[in-house]
Amino acid sequence: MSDQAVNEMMSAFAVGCMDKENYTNFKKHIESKSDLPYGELGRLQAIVTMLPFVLEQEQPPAHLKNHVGRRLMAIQDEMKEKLKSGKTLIIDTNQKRLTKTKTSATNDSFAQLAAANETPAAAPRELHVEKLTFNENKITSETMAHHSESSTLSVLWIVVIILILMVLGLAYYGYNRYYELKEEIGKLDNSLTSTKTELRSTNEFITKNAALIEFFNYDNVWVVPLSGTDPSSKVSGKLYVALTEKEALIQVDNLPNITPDKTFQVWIVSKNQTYSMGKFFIEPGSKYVKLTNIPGIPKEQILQFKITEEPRDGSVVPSGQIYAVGLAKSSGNKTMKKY
Amino acid sequence: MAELSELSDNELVAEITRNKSRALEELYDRYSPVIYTLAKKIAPDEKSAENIVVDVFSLIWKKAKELNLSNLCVYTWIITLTRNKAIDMLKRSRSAEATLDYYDDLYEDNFIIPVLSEEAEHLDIKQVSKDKEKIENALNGLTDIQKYVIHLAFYEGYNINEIVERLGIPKETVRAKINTALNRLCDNFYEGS
Repeated sequence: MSDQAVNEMMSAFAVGCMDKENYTNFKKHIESKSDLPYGELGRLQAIVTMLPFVLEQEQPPAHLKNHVGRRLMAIQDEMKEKLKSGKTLIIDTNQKRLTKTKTSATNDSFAQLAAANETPAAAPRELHVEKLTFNENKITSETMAHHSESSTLSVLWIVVIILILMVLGLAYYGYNRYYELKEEIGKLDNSLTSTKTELRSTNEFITKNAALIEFFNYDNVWVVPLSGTDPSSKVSGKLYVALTEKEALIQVDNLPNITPDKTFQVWIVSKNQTYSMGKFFIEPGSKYVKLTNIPGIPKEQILQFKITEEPRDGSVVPSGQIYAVGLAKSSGNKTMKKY
Repeated sequence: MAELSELSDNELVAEITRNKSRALEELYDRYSPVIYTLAKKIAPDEKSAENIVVDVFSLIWKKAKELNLSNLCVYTWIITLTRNKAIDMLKRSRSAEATLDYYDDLYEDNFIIPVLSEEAEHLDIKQVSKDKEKIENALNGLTDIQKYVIHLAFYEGYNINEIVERLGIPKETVRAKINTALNRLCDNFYEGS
Protein backbone atom coordinates (compact mmCIF):
# COMPACT_ATOMS: atom_id res chain seq x y z
CA MET A 1 0.00 0.00 0.00
CA SER A 2 1.38 3.42 -0.94
CA ASP A 3 2.21 6.09 1.58
CA GLN A 4 -0.50 8.26 0.10
CA ALA A 5 -3.11 5.54 0.68
CA VAL A 6 -1.90 5.02 4.26
CA ASN A 7 -2.07 8.74 4.96
CA GLU A 8 -5.57 8.93 3.53
CA MET A 9 -6.64 6.01 5.69
CA MET A 10 -5.16 7.60 8.79
CA SER A 11 -6.93 10.87 8.07
CA ALA A 12 -10.24 9.13 7.48
CA PHE A 13 -9.76 7.19 10.73
CA ALA A 14 -8.78 10.30 12.70
CA VAL A 15 -11.77 12.35 11.53
CA GLY A 16 -14.15 9.38 11.90
CA CYS A 17 -15.45 8.90 8.37
CA MET A 18 -14.43 5.31 7.73
CA ASP A 19 -17.18 2.83 7.01
CA LYS A 20 -17.71 0.07 9.56
CA GLU A 21 -15.64 -2.58 7.83
CA ASN A 22 -12.63 -0.37 7.14
CA TYR A 23 -12.84 1.08 10.63
CA THR A 24 -12.78 -2.39 12.21
CA ASN A 25 -9.83 -3.49 10.08
CA PHE A 26 -7.81 -0.34 10.68
CA LYS A 27 -8.52 -0.51 14.40
CA LYS A 28 -7.22 -4.08 14.50
CA HIS A 29 -4.19 -2.90 12.57
CA ILE A 30 -3.42 -0.31 15.27
CA GLU A 31 -4.16 -2.67 18.16
CA SER A 32 -1.84 -5.28 16.70
CA LYS A 33 0.86 -2.58 16.55
CA SER A 34 1.41 -3.11 12.86
CA ASP A 35 3.76 -0.91 10.90
CA LEU A 36 2.20 2.57 10.79
CA PRO A 37 3.42 6.11 11.23
CA TYR A 38 1.91 6.31 14.70
CA GLY A 39 3.38 9.77 15.31
CA GLU A 40 1.53 11.11 12.29
CA LEU A 41 -1.64 9.33 13.33
CA GLY A 42 -1.38 10.81 16.81
CA ARG A 43 -0.94 14.28 15.35
CA LEU A 44 -4.02 13.90 13.17
CA GLN A 45 -6.13 12.54 16.03
CA ALA A 46 -5.03 15.39 18.29
CA ILE A 47 -5.78 18.14 15.79
CA VAL A 48 -9.25 16.79 15.12
CA THR A 49 -10.10 16.85 18.80
CA MET A 50 -9.18 20.50 19.01
CA LEU A 51 -11.98 21.45 16.64
CA PRO A 52 -14.72 21.58 19.32
CA PHE A 53 -12.87 24.45 20.97
CA VAL A 54 -13.63 26.57 17.93
CA LEU A 55 -17.30 26.34 18.92
CA GLU A 56 -18.85 28.74 21.36
CA GLN A 57 -18.43 26.92 24.66
CA GLU A 58 -21.58 26.36 26.67
CA GLN A 59 -21.89 25.54 30.32
CA PRO A 60 -24.05 22.50 30.91
CA PRO A 61 -27.14 22.87 33.05
CA ALA A 62 -26.45 22.73 36.78
CA HIS A 63 -28.58 19.65 37.36
CA LEU A 64 -26.46 17.68 34.93
CA LYS A 65 -23.69 17.29 37.44
CA ASN A 66 -26.05 15.65 39.90
CA HIS A 67 -27.31 13.40 37.17
CA VAL A 68 -23.77 12.27 36.58
CA GLY A 69 -23.25 11.74 40.30
CA ARG A 70 -26.43 9.71 40.61
CA ARG A 71 -25.48 7.63 37.61
CA LEU A 72 -22.13 6.86 39.17
CA MET A 73 -23.80 5.91 42.44
CA ALA A 74 -26.14 3.60 40.56
CA ILE A 75 -23.13 2.06 38.83
CA GLN A 76 -21.46 1.58 42.18
CA ASP A 77 -24.57 -0.03 43.70
CA GLU A 78 -24.91 -2.28 40.70
CA MET A 79 -21.29 -3.35 41.03
CA LYS A 80 -21.87 -4.19 44.70
CA GLU A 81 -24.94 -6.22 43.80
CA LYS A 82 -23.00 -8.06 41.15
CA LEU A 83 -20.26 -8.80 43.66
CA LYS A 84 -22.77 -10.30 46.03
CA SER A 85 -24.31 -12.51 43.38
CA GLY A 86 -20.89 -13.41 42.04
CA LYS A 87 -21.78 -12.30 38.55
CA THR A 88 -19.78 -10.21 36.16
CA LEU A 89 -20.77 -6.59 36.16
CA ILE A 90 -22.40 -5.50 32.96
CA ILE A 91 -23.53 -1.97 32.85
CA ASP A 92 -25.54 -0.63 30.02
CA THR A 93 -24.23 2.82 29.33
CA ASN A 94 -26.40 3.36 26.32
CA GLN A 95 -28.44 6.55 26.27
CA LYS A 96 -31.00 6.64 29.06
CA ARG A 97 -33.66 9.11 29.89
CA LEU A 98 -32.59 11.14 32.83
CA THR A 99 -35.15 10.66 35.52
CA LYS A 100 -35.21 12.07 38.95
CA THR A 101 -34.64 9.48 41.62
CA LYS A 102 -35.87 9.45 45.16
CA THR A 103 -32.56 8.58 46.67
CA SER A 104 -31.69 11.86 48.26
CA ALA A 105 -33.03 15.28 48.95
CA THR A 106 -29.63 16.89 48.48
CA ASN A 107 -28.40 17.99 45.05
CA ASP A 108 -24.78 17.13 45.68
CA SER A 109 -24.65 13.53 44.45
CA PHE A 110 -20.89 13.70 44.04
CA ALA A 111 -20.68 14.45 47.75
CA GLN A 112 -22.81 11.43 48.48
CA LEU A 113 -20.68 9.34 46.18
CA ALA A 114 -17.57 10.61 47.87
CA ALA A 115 -19.10 9.97 51.29
CA ALA A 116 -20.00 6.44 50.27
CA ASN A 117 -16.50 5.83 48.96
CA GLU A 118 -14.49 7.60 51.62
CA THR A 119 -16.33 6.68 54.85
CA PRO A 120 -14.66 3.70 56.56
CA ALA A 121 -17.98 2.21 57.68
CA ALA A 122 -19.37 2.47 54.20
CA ALA A 123 -19.69 -0.33 51.68
CA PRO A 124 -16.47 -1.72 50.21
CA ARG A 125 -14.34 1.14 48.95
CA GLU A 126 -12.30 -0.79 46.50
CA LEU A 127 -14.23 -1.70 43.42
CA HIS A 128 -11.46 -2.25 40.96
CA VAL A 129 -10.70 -5.62 39.45
CA GLU A 130 -8.28 -7.11 42.01
CA LYS A 131 -10.45 -6.50 45.05
CA LEU A 132 -13.45 -7.55 43.04
CA THR A 133 -11.77 -10.91 42.55
CA PHE A 134 -10.96 -11.22 46.27
CA ASN A 135 -14.53 -10.48 47.36
CA GLU A 136 -15.84 -12.80 44.66
CA ASN A 137 -13.77 -15.65 46.14
CA LYS A 138 -15.18 -15.00 49.59
CA ILE A 139 -18.75 -14.83 48.34
CA THR A 140 -18.17 -17.81 46.05
CA SER A 141 -17.13 -20.13 48.96
CA GLU A 142 -20.30 -19.16 50.85
CA THR A 143 -22.33 -19.68 47.73
CA MET A 144 -20.61 -23.02 47.14
CA ALA A 145 -21.42 -24.13 50.70
CA HIS A 146 -25.03 -23.21 50.14
CA HIS A 147 -25.03 -24.99 46.80
CA SER A 148 -23.43 -28.13 48.24
CA GLU A 149 -26.07 -28.18 50.99
CA SER A 150 -28.83 -28.01 48.41
CA SER A 151 -27.07 -30.66 46.34
CA THR A 152 -26.83 -32.99 49.37
CA LEU A 153 -30.53 -32.59 50.05
CA SER A 154 -31.35 -33.26 46.42
CA VAL A 155 -29.14 -36.36 46.44
CA LEU A 156 -30.86 -37.58 49.62
CA TRP A 157 -34.26 -37.15 48.05
CA ILE A 158 -33.16 -39.00 44.96
CA VAL A 159 -31.79 -41.85 47.09
CA VAL A 160 -35.06 -42.06 49.06
CA ILE A 161 -37.10 -42.15 45.88
CA ILE A 162 -34.86 -44.85 44.41
CA LEU A 163 -35.19 -46.92 47.60
CA ILE A 164 -38.97 -46.61 47.54
CA LEU A 165 -39.04 -47.66 43.90
CA MET A 166 -36.78 -50.62 44.67
CA VAL A 167 -39.03 -51.72 47.54
CA LEU A 168 -42.10 -51.40 45.34
CA GLY A 169 -40.36 -53.34 42.61
CA LEU A 170 -39.35 -56.09 45.01
CA ALA A 171 -42.86 -56.26 46.45
CA TYR A 172 -44.36 -56.55 42.99
CA TYR A 173 -41.86 -59.21 42.01
CA GLY A 174 -42.47 -61.09 45.24
CA TYR A 175 -46.23 -60.93 44.78
CA ASN A 176 -45.99 -62.20 41.24
CA ARG A 177 -43.55 -64.92 42.21
CA TYR A 178 -45.77 -66.06 45.08
CA TYR A 179 -48.70 -66.54 42.79
CA GLU A 180 -46.57 -68.25 40.20
CA LEU A 181 -45.26 -70.65 42.79
CA LYS A 182 -48.73 -71.18 44.14
CA GLU A 183 -49.93 -72.04 40.66
CA GLU A 184 -47.03 -74.38 40.16
CA ILE A 185 -47.72 -76.09 43.47
CA GLY A 186 -51.34 -76.49 42.40
CA LYS A 187 -50.23 -78.08 39.16
CA LEU A 188 -47.84 -80.34 41.01
CA ASP A 189 -50.61 -81.28 43.38
CA ASN A 190 -52.84 -82.19 40.49
CA SER A 191 -50.05 -84.11 38.86
CA LEU A 192 -49.37 -85.92 42.11
CA THR A 193 -53.02 -86.75 42.53
CA SER A 194 -53.29 -88.12 39.03
CA THR A 195 -50.07 -90.01 39.52
CA LYS A 196 -51.42 -91.45 42.76
CA THR A 197 -54.61 -92.36 41.02
CA GLU A 198 -52.65 -93.98 38.24
CA LEU A 199 -50.50 -95.74 40.72
CA ARG A 200 -53.52 -96.94 42.63
CA SER A 201 -55.15 -98.23 39.52
CA THR A 202 -51.89 -99.81 38.52
CA ASN A 203 -51.64 -101.41 41.89
CA GLU A 204 -55.19 -102.61 41.60
CA PHE A 205 -54.46 -103.93 38.17
CA ILE A 206 -51.38 -105.63 39.40
CA THR A 207 -53.26 -106.96 42.36
CA LYS A 208 -56.06 -108.20 40.20
CA ASN A 209 -53.81 -109.53 37.56
CA ALA A 210 -50.93 -110.75 39.63
CA ALA A 211 -51.56 -114.31 38.63
CA LEU A 212 -51.61 -113.36 34.97
CA ILE A 213 -48.52 -111.22 35.31
CA GLU A 214 -46.69 -114.01 36.99
CA PHE A 215 -47.90 -116.47 34.41
CA PHE A 216 -46.43 -114.37 31.66
CA ASN A 217 -43.01 -115.02 33.10
CA TYR A 218 -43.26 -118.28 31.19
CA ASP A 219 -42.05 -118.56 27.67
CA ASN A 220 -44.57 -119.30 24.94
CA VAL A 221 -47.84 -118.80 26.72
CA TRP A 222 -50.71 -120.06 24.54
CA VAL A 223 -53.78 -117.87 24.76
CA VAL A 224 -57.01 -119.56 23.75
CA PRO A 225 -60.27 -117.57 23.74
CA LEU A 226 -63.17 -119.28 25.44
CA SER A 227 -66.80 -118.86 24.54
CA GLY A 228 -70.16 -120.38 25.42
CA THR A 229 -71.53 -123.25 23.41
CA ASP A 230 -74.92 -121.59 23.11
CA PRO A 231 -75.24 -118.52 20.95
CA SER A 232 -77.22 -116.89 23.70
CA SER A 233 -74.60 -117.78 26.27
CA LYS A 234 -72.68 -114.95 27.82
CA VAL A 235 -69.83 -117.12 28.95
CA SER A 236 -66.48 -115.82 27.75
CA GLY A 237 -62.91 -115.82 28.81
CA LYS A 238 -59.39 -116.84 28.05
CA LEU A 239 -57.31 -119.89 28.73
CA TYR A 240 -53.59 -119.24 29.08
CA VAL A 241 -51.64 -122.43 28.57
CA ALA A 242 -47.96 -122.92 29.26
CA LEU A 243 -47.49 -126.41 27.86
CA THR A 244 -43.80 -126.59 28.72
CA GLU A 245 -44.40 -125.67 32.33
CA LYS A 246 -47.60 -127.73 32.39
CA GLU A 247 -49.59 -124.93 33.84
CA ALA A 248 -52.65 -123.11 32.73
CA LEU A 249 -54.50 -120.01 33.80
CA ILE A 250 -58.19 -119.68 33.31
CA GLN A 251 -60.03 -116.42 33.15
CA VAL A 252 -63.72 -116.92 32.46
CA ASP A 253 -66.75 -114.75 33.05
CA ASN A 254 -70.46 -115.43 33.46
CA LEU A 255 -70.18 -119.07 34.40
CA PRO A 256 -73.37 -120.05 36.15
CA ASN A 257 -73.50 -120.75 39.82
CA ILE A 258 -73.34 -124.45 40.50
CA THR A 259 -74.35 -126.42 43.53
CA PRO A 260 -71.74 -127.27 46.12
CA ASP A 261 -71.67 -130.88 45.02
CA LYS A 262 -70.55 -129.92 41.59
CA THR A 263 -67.34 -128.47 40.16
CA PHE A 264 -66.02 -127.06 36.87
CA GLN A 265 -63.46 -129.16 35.08
CA VAL A 266 -61.21 -128.18 32.19
CA TRP A 267 -60.43 -130.73 29.44
CA ILE A 268 -57.92 -130.99 26.62
CA VAL A 269 -59.49 -132.62 23.63
CA SER A 270 -56.95 -134.23 21.35
CA LYS A 271 -57.38 -136.42 18.30
CA ASN A 272 -57.47 -139.64 20.19
CA GLN A 273 -58.46 -138.76 23.65
CA THR A 274 -59.72 -136.19 26.13
CA TYR A 275 -57.52 -135.31 29.04
CA SER A 276 -58.45 -133.49 32.21
CA MET A 277 -56.45 -130.34 32.93
CA GLY A 278 -57.95 -129.93 36.37
CA LYS A 279 -61.00 -128.70 38.20
CA PHE A 280 -61.81 -125.40 39.76
CA PHE A 281 -64.39 -123.47 41.68
CA ILE A 282 -65.44 -119.90 41.10
CA GLU A 283 -64.13 -117.84 43.98
CA PRO A 284 -65.56 -114.41 44.42
CA GLY A 285 -62.95 -111.65 43.86
CA SER A 286 -60.58 -113.99 42.10
CA LYS A 287 -60.33 -113.32 38.44
CA TYR A 288 -57.96 -116.11 37.50
CA VAL A 289 -57.72 -119.76 38.36
CA LYS A 290 -54.41 -121.50 38.08
CA LEU A 291 -54.16 -125.12 37.00
CA THR A 292 -50.97 -127.00 37.51
CA ASN A 293 -49.73 -130.38 36.30
CA ILE A 294 -51.75 -130.25 33.19
CA PRO A 295 -51.14 -133.09 30.75
CA GLY A 296 -48.12 -132.59 28.54
CA ILE A 297 -49.92 -133.06 25.25
CA PRO A 298 -48.11 -131.78 22.15
CA LYS A 299 -49.73 -128.71 20.91
CA GLU A 300 -50.34 -130.02 17.42
CA GLN A 301 -52.43 -132.83 18.81
CA ILE A 302 -54.74 -130.59 20.77
CA LEU A 303 -58.02 -129.89 19.03
CA GLN A 304 -59.85 -127.90 21.65
CA PHE A 305 -60.32 -127.09 25.29
CA LYS A 306 -63.58 -127.23 27.14
CA ILE A 307 -65.05 -126.50 30.50
CA THR A 308 -67.75 -128.82 31.84
CA GLU A 309 -69.72 -129.22 34.97
CA GLU A 310 -68.69 -132.41 36.79
CA PRO A 311 -69.24 -133.95 40.19
CA ARG A 312 -67.33 -132.36 42.96
CA ASP A 313 -64.58 -134.93 43.00
CA GLY A 314 -64.04 -134.59 39.29
CA SER A 315 -64.50 -136.99 36.44
CA VAL A 316 -62.30 -139.18 34.34
CA VAL A 317 -64.10 -138.27 31.17
CA PRO A 318 -66.23 -135.20 30.44
CA SER A 319 -69.79 -136.12 31.26
CA GLY A 320 -71.46 -132.93 32.41
CA GLN A 321 -72.75 -129.90 30.63
CA ILE A 322 -70.26 -128.07 28.49
CA TYR A 323 -70.18 -124.37 29.39
CA ALA A 324 -67.24 -123.05 27.42
CA VAL A 325 -65.14 -124.18 24.53
CA GLY A 326 -61.88 -122.92 23.15
CA LEU A 327 -60.69 -124.12 19.78
CA ALA A 328 -57.02 -124.85 19.45
CA LYS A 329 -56.73 -123.42 15.96
CA SER A 330 -59.11 -120.48 16.02
CA SER A 331 -58.14 -117.00 14.73
CA GLY A 332 -58.25 -115.64 18.25
CA ASN A 333 -55.39 -117.89 19.41
CA LYS A 334 -52.15 -116.21 20.21
CA THR A 335 -48.87 -117.33 21.42
CA MET A 336 -47.32 -114.79 23.78
CA LYS A 337 -43.60 -115.01 23.91
CA LYS A 338 -41.69 -113.51 26.74
CA TYR A 339 -39.05 -110.99 25.64
CA MET B 1 -2.13 15.87 49.16
CA ALA B 2 -2.18 18.35 46.27
CA GLU B 3 -5.41 20.05 45.39
CA LEU B 4 -7.26 18.22 42.70
CA SER B 5 -7.43 21.37 40.63
CA GLU B 6 -3.65 21.41 40.45
CA LEU B 7 -3.39 17.94 39.06
CA SER B 8 -2.96 17.29 35.35
CA ASP B 9 -5.64 15.45 33.43
CA ASN B 10 -3.62 12.26 33.59
CA GLU B 11 -3.02 12.61 37.32
CA LEU B 12 -6.70 13.24 37.79
CA VAL B 13 -7.60 10.10 35.89
CA ALA B 14 -5.07 8.18 37.98
CA GLU B 15 -7.04 9.29 41.05
CA ILE B 16 -10.24 8.21 39.36
CA THR B 17 -8.82 4.73 38.89
CA ARG B 18 -8.53 4.64 42.69
CA ASN B 19 -12.27 5.35 42.89
CA LYS B 20 -11.80 8.93 43.99
CA SER B 21 -15.13 10.42 43.03
CA ARG B 22 -13.87 13.93 43.84
CA ALA B 23 -11.32 13.48 41.07
CA LEU B 24 -14.09 12.66 38.66
CA GLU B 25 -15.94 15.74 39.86
CA GLU B 26 -12.89 17.85 39.11
CA LEU B 27 -12.64 16.25 35.68
CA TYR B 28 -16.31 17.02 35.15
CA ASP B 29 -15.76 20.63 36.04
CA ARG B 30 -12.91 20.83 33.52
CA TYR B 31 -14.43 18.94 30.63
CA SER B 32 -18.17 19.33 30.90
CA PRO B 33 -18.34 22.60 28.91
CA VAL B 34 -16.48 21.28 25.84
CA ILE B 35 -18.22 17.89 26.10
CA TYR B 36 -21.62 19.51 26.40
CA THR B 37 -20.84 21.93 23.56
CA LEU B 38 -19.69 19.14 21.27
CA ALA B 39 -22.61 16.92 22.24
CA LYS B 40 -25.06 19.73 21.60
CA LYS B 41 -23.47 20.43 18.22
CA ILE B 42 -23.91 16.84 17.05
CA ALA B 43 -26.89 15.42 18.97
CA PRO B 44 -30.42 15.84 17.60
CA ASP B 45 -31.71 17.61 20.70
CA GLU B 46 -30.71 18.99 24.08
CA LYS B 47 -31.95 16.05 26.07
CA SER B 48 -29.80 13.75 23.99
CA ALA B 49 -26.85 16.03 24.55
CA GLU B 50 -27.34 15.82 28.32
CA ASN B 51 -27.57 12.05 28.11
CA ILE B 52 -24.32 12.00 26.17
CA VAL B 53 -22.57 13.97 28.89
CA VAL B 54 -23.79 11.57 31.58
CA ASP B 55 -22.81 8.57 29.47
CA VAL B 56 -19.33 9.93 28.79
CA PHE B 57 -18.50 10.41 32.47
CA SER B 58 -20.04 7.04 33.30
CA LEU B 59 -17.72 5.47 30.79
CA ILE B 60 -14.72 7.33 32.17
CA TRP B 61 -15.59 6.04 35.66
CA LYS B 62 -16.09 2.54 34.37
CA LYS B 63 -13.24 2.25 31.88
CA ALA B 64 -10.44 4.34 33.34
CA LYS B 65 -8.62 1.52 35.05
CA GLU B 66 -9.48 -1.11 32.48
CA LEU B 67 -8.04 0.95 29.60
CA ASN B 68 -5.14 2.35 31.60
CA LEU B 69 -6.45 5.77 30.69
CA SER B 70 -3.94 7.58 32.84
CA ASN B 71 -1.22 6.62 30.35
CA LEU B 72 -3.07 7.88 27.29
CA CYS B 73 -3.82 11.35 26.09
CA VAL B 74 -6.84 11.97 28.30
CA TYR B 75 -8.05 15.00 26.38
CA THR B 76 -8.00 13.30 22.95
CA TRP B 77 -9.62 10.23 24.41
CA ILE B 78 -12.47 12.07 26.08
CA ILE B 79 -13.23 14.29 23.08
CA THR B 80 -13.12 11.33 20.67
CA LEU B 81 -15.37 9.36 23.02
CA THR B 82 -17.83 12.22 23.17
CA ARG B 83 -17.85 12.56 19.43
CA ASN B 84 -18.36 8.80 18.91
CA LYS B 85 -21.24 8.67 21.40
CA ALA B 86 -22.90 11.72 19.84
CA ILE B 87 -22.55 10.47 16.27
CA ASP B 88 -23.94 7.08 17.26
CA MET B 89 -26.94 8.74 18.86
CA LEU B 90 -27.38 10.97 15.81
CA LYS B 91 -27.32 8.04 13.39
CA ARG B 92 -29.85 6.10 15.46
CA SER B 93 -32.16 9.08 15.52
CA ARG B 94 -31.87 9.73 11.78
CA SER B 95 -33.89 6.83 10.54
CA ALA B 96 -36.20 4.27 12.12
CA GLU B 97 -34.99 1.84 9.50
CA ALA B 98 -31.38 2.32 10.37
CA THR B 99 -29.51 -0.94 10.41
CA LEU B 100 -27.11 -0.02 13.15
CA ASP B 101 -25.99 -2.82 15.44
CA TYR B 102 -27.60 -3.35 18.80
CA TYR B 103 -25.86 -1.22 21.40
CA ASP B 104 -24.29 -3.62 23.84
CA ASP B 105 -20.93 -3.88 25.59
CA LEU B 106 -19.31 -5.44 22.55
CA TYR B 107 -20.58 -2.74 20.22
CA GLU B 108 -19.47 -0.10 22.67
CA ASP B 109 -15.94 -1.55 22.92
CA ASN B 110 -15.64 -1.88 19.15
CA PHE B 111 -17.12 1.39 17.89
CA ILE B 112 -17.50 3.87 20.74
CA ILE B 113 -14.41 3.51 22.90
CA PRO B 114 -11.59 5.35 21.08
CA VAL B 115 -8.41 3.74 19.87
CA LEU B 116 -5.56 6.21 19.98
CA SER B 117 -2.06 6.17 18.65
CA GLU B 118 0.37 5.57 21.49
CA GLU B 119 2.55 8.32 20.05
CA ALA B 120 -0.20 10.94 20.31
CA GLU B 121 0.88 14.13 21.98
CA HIS B 122 -0.47 14.37 25.52
CA LEU B 123 -2.77 17.36 25.33
CA ASP B 124 -4.16 19.08 28.35
CA ILE B 125 -7.52 20.79 28.26
CA LYS B 126 -6.18 23.87 29.88
CA GLN B 127 -3.53 24.18 27.18
CA VAL B 128 -6.00 23.43 24.40
CA SER B 129 -8.43 26.03 25.66
CA LYS B 130 -5.62 28.55 25.59
CA ASP B 131 -4.87 27.57 21.97
CA LYS B 132 -8.41 28.33 20.82
CA GLU B 133 -7.30 31.24 18.66
CA LYS B 134 -4.61 29.17 16.98
CA ILE B 135 -7.12 26.50 16.13
CA GLU B 136 -9.47 29.05 14.67
CA ASN B 137 -6.71 30.48 12.55
CA ALA B 138 -5.63 27.06 11.40
CA LEU B 139 -9.18 26.24 10.43
CA ASN B 140 -9.58 29.49 8.56
CA GLY B 141 -6.57 28.50 6.47
CA LEU B 142 -8.60 25.71 4.87
CA THR B 143 -10.71 26.06 1.77
CA ASP B 144 -14.47 25.97 2.08
CA ILE B 145 -14.70 22.51 0.59
CA GLN B 146 -12.02 21.26 2.98
CA LYS B 147 -13.91 22.72 5.93
CA TYR B 148 -17.14 21.25 4.60
CA VAL B 149 -15.83 17.71 4.24
CA ILE B 150 -14.36 17.90 7.73
CA HIS B 151 -17.71 19.14 8.99
CA LEU B 152 -19.60 16.37 7.22
CA ALA B 153 -17.21 13.76 8.60
CA PHE B 154 -16.63 15.00 12.14
CA TYR B 155 -19.89 16.70 13.10
CA GLU B 156 -22.39 14.96 10.82
CA GLY B 157 -20.90 11.47 11.06
CA TYR B 158 -20.98 10.71 7.34
CA ASN B 159 -18.57 8.14 6.02
CA ILE B 160 -16.68 8.53 2.76
CA ASN B 161 -19.33 6.81 0.67
CA GLU B 162 -22.05 9.04 2.09
CA ILE B 163 -19.94 12.16 1.49
CA VAL B 164 -19.38 11.01 -2.09
CA GLU B 165 -23.15 10.72 -2.45
CA ARG B 166 -23.80 14.13 -0.99
CA LEU B 167 -21.13 15.97 -2.92
CA GLY B 168 -21.32 13.99 -6.10
CA ILE B 169 -17.57 13.74 -6.39
CA PRO B 170 -15.40 10.65 -6.75
CA LYS B 171 -14.35 8.68 -3.67
CA GLU B 172 -10.66 9.26 -4.37
CA THR B 173 -11.30 12.99 -4.39
CA VAL B 174 -13.10 12.86 -1.05
CA ARG B 175 -10.28 10.82 0.50
CA ALA B 176 -7.69 13.20 -0.85
CA LYS B 177 -9.58 16.25 0.33
CA ILE B 178 -9.98 14.93 3.85
CA ASN B 179 -6.32 14.01 4.01
CA THR B 180 -5.24 17.36 2.64
CA ALA B 181 -7.56 19.23 4.96
CA LEU B 182 -6.29 17.52 8.09
CA ASN B 183 -2.67 17.80 7.12
CA ARG B 184 -3.06 21.48 6.31
CA LEU B 185 -4.88 22.00 9.59
CA CYS B 186 -1.95 20.40 11.39
CA ASP B 187 0.56 22.43 9.45
CA ASN B 188 -1.36 25.64 10.05
CA PHE B 189 -1.71 24.94 13.75
CA TYR B 190 1.88 23.93 14.43
CA GLU B 191 3.36 26.55 12.13
CA GLY B 192 1.27 29.10 13.97
CA SER B 193 3.09 28.14 17.16
